[in-house]
Amino acid sequence: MLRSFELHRPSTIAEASALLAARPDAALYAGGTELLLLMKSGLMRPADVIDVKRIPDLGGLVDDASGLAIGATVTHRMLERSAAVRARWPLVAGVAAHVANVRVRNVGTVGGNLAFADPHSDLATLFLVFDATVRLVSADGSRELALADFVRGPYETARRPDEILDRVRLLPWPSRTGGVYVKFGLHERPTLGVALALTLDGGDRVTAVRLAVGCVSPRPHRVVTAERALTGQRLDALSGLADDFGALAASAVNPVSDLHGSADYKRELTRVFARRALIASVARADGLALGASYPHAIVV
Amino acid sequence: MRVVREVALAAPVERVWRALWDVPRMVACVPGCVEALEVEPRRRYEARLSQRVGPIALSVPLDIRVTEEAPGRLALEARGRDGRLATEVHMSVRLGVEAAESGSRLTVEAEGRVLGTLGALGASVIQRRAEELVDEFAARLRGELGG
Repeated sequence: MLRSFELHRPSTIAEASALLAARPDAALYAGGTELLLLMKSGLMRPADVIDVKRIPDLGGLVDDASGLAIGATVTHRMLERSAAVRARWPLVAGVAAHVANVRVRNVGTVGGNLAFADPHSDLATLFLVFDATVRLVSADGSRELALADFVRGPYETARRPDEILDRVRLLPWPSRTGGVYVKFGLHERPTLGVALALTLDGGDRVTAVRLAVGCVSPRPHRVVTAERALTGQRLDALSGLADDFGALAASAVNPVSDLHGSADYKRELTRVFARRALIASVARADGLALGASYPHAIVV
Repeated sequence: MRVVREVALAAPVERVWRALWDVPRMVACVPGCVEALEVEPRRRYEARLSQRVGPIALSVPLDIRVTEEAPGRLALEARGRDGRLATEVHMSVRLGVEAAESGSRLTVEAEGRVLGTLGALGASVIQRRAEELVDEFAARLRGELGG
């Protein structure tokens, strides 16, 4: 049951910020896929709800030389279907197409997903391999934060109560970079997400590696030790390093036991799927189709 | 959830032991603890514990009973319910203090259950918050006792 609250519908970011400055306990509402669950269960009882869906400036999707700027109220479905995103950011469109289910994707927003910081989510993990930054706006001004610093832990972010996340920006990869995202889970939300991107030089040598692991630790994070282990290697040597790569990823996570599995199980999953992500990345860099399929897993 | 910690303290055993029975000091050391009250000396206490997990605020009035007291050893049970969140908290905490090279060593063994709506957030979130609570308690106690 939803308890009563006062609904505000600002039409500009400035109006929303002014509302929020005066009512720091207000809840921001966009897609509502997370917020309404909490409100219906009584875990959140905001006296004021600020609907930011109608603010045009939060709904932009801009792809230019500086990267992909995704407005906070852009839905997963919009990302999935945007021609520009599909053409220039296929991994982003591909992952968006596999977030939850189509009902959630139709209304759930990118900004809401990041700001809610559910540990079992795909986007934050994926965006880490694009060195994403988020912009937080308040009545006092705005600040830009690395996504890695924005997500502090399960359901906790660096957003102050008077701030609105207005957009996330993904940086373009260097040329000759390819990536994959692998997720595994038996439940509605993923148990594990692994994002991996490899950058090659003209001689097929790896010049940069980006590996992010999500869902198993309190927050998604890059795994620098595993990234270093591949940097400088030749593409045709990577398959031989896949076991070590998996082990390095597994040793970097910090899982606890819950309904998704025991801590040991999650560490093992990380090892296995980091290895598989590497093998898939190598295949993609070689221009081969991703032939592998694994039960309960999605490879994008 | 279960949290086990060993904390090295510079203060001698007697000072640590006294601090554990000092209500205002304990209120200062337990994060989110307010309104503690001695109901029956060394037997029963009441306190309110407030915690925030992301957007969710929990506030539980706890009924705390000392179930065991022996030299250097203390066990207590705490129970409470946040009616607004339809959530119950049960905790059992064992504390031990013994002499060590540094001065003394405090062992904390906390076991607890969060039942009801908040449990829906998932065991991992609650486990982590419990670990943060015990670690913060240890850090504050160390501060209170001067290292």
